[in-house]
Amino acid sequence: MKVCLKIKRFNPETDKKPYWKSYELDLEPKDRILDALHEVKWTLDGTLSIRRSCAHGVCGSDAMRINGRNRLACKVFVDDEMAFGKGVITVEPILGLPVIKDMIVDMEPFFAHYRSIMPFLVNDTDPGPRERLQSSEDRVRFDDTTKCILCACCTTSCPSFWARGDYVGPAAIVQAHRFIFDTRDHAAEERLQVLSDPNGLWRCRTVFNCTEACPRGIQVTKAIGEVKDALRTGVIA
Amino acid sequence: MTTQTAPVSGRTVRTLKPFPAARNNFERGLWIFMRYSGIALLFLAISHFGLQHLLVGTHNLSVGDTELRWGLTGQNVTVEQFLWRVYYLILLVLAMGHGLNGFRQVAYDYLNQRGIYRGTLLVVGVLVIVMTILGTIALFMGATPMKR
Repeated sequence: MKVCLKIKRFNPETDKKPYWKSYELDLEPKDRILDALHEVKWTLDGTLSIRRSCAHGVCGSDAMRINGRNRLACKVFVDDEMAFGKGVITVEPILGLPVIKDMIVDMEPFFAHYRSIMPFLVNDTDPGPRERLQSSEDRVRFDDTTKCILCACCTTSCPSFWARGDYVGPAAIVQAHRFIFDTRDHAAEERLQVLSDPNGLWRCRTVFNCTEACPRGIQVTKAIGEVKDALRTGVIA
Repeated sequence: MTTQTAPVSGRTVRTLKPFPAARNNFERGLWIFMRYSGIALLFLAISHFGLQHLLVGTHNLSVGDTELRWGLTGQNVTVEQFLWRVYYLILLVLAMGHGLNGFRQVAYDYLNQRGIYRGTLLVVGVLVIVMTILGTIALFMGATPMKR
């Protein structure tokens, strides 16, 4: 099928500001947007810069704004996006992070927020000769938030983050949820302390963009609500 | 921290005690205020709208209705009129407080220079407080009789 792909291009060495460039492609309906970008890069314009690794929705490196919605380029089909975009597919870098070149953004501010909530298990007690045991009921409590692949689709779809990048962001809160609700972890209070900052949890305005954007189907706003409840009541249940 | 098992779900429930970070948090308190005031305002504003626009009717709105509900300046108020004043006082205070905090959140998001943010918040905050005081005075002074 004939596809019109509009890509927001930016090269800091030659361009003062980003601009849109259209490419006409002949693709299979079930090709993915990543295939379309490969087609451009490999056959039409080798200067196009994109970030991708596994190309199967696991590594989370090809997050971009496709037809105005944050998606992984390797997980959306050309025909679906052609229908949604009424004959045109627009592709641009995710918002709220500095653009390095074309689709590549500087992820460091995102990872700084991620590091701030201590994304690792904290437990100084001796586990003994075996692993730390946990009931299946306790394990399933944070199952949803273990699925996060740190693609930044949620954080960069959040209007609070667009407005001020010092908001900790949905992805970091999801990671905090994963450890706060883990009964084996002993640092819930420290994480909640970090999230009680004016730029922490309470800057979530419950817009639900994050839930809509998550390529892993995580109920992000629900997870944020559960952390809010924990911070509000001091009860982790 | 105390730990117990929930009877139905079988999950571990942990209670953090003491929990000063959350207990004394300004943002946390305002977040709770926004939820409760939002729910209250929904009923207060809709009932006010229904009263003015449906029961009284848009074409029949007059100061006379206000006189009936608030009572006249300098005259004793009935219990019903006093309750109407309390109703409008709650509506006024919650709407102003809810609006002010909403403005604070938007200003915090979009006014990146701290000086401009604080200055704007101060001006709007003072305006809101003055308007709330004026509204309260007007409410409890009662309506001034109209010259007919």
